[in-house]
Amino acid sequence: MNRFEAYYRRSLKRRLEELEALARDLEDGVPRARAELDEAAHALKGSGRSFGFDAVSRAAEAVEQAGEDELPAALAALVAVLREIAAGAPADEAQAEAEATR
Amino acid sequence: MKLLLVDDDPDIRLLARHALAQAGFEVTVSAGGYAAVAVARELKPDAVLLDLLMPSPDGLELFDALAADAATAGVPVLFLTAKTQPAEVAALLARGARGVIAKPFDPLRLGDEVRRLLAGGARAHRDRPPEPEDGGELL
Repeated sequence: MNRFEAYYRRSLKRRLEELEALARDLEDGVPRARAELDEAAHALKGSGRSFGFDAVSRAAEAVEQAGEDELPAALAALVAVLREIAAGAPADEAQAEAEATR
Repeated sequence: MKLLLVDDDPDIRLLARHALAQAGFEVTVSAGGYAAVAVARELKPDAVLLDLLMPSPDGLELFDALAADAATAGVPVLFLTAKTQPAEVAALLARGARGVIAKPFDPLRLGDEVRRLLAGGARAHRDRPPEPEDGGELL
């Protein structure tokens, strides 16, 4: 399924922008920001591993399950994983990044 | 065998469509909404793969709409979801789903998983004569 890796990488760039916007909304106390963040994380959890990016699924699941106190760190870790991948890191390097930030 | 795949995530639609086509299925995709029910009426698929968490109507609402429509009521539904706690899966099965496929799925095994779940249901109805339009294709 490597042929879909480039496609998914582009998709993750868009999702990274969405997540960064949602992170700002969350800081600003925008209503529904957490709910929208959970929906975005849920989608990433459900797709990452299927495309060969296990780190995406794992970091997204951590966001989805994070309590209020844990959310900033979990979100930062997910954003870091997506940035690595968007910057061109192969799936296994993004995996190492995720493990380093756990 | 014709499948209708309903998911609001374009990444999943692309990957699952490809994986299922590679496994020999004829796949039609829908991004969701009640348009998916209209597609199912027209297509008469052998099964519907339905994402659970979607903007309204979500997977459960679409499941109910499919069940309420005489043209689609008998079509087996497999939920495709990242909500796979045992209680969540049990609730979907109790509601009448033929099966539940966990996300993230393995694209190389998705076709086998669909066949396995559909065949499991078919065994329960093995006393029924085969449908004439079935074409003889085995699950």
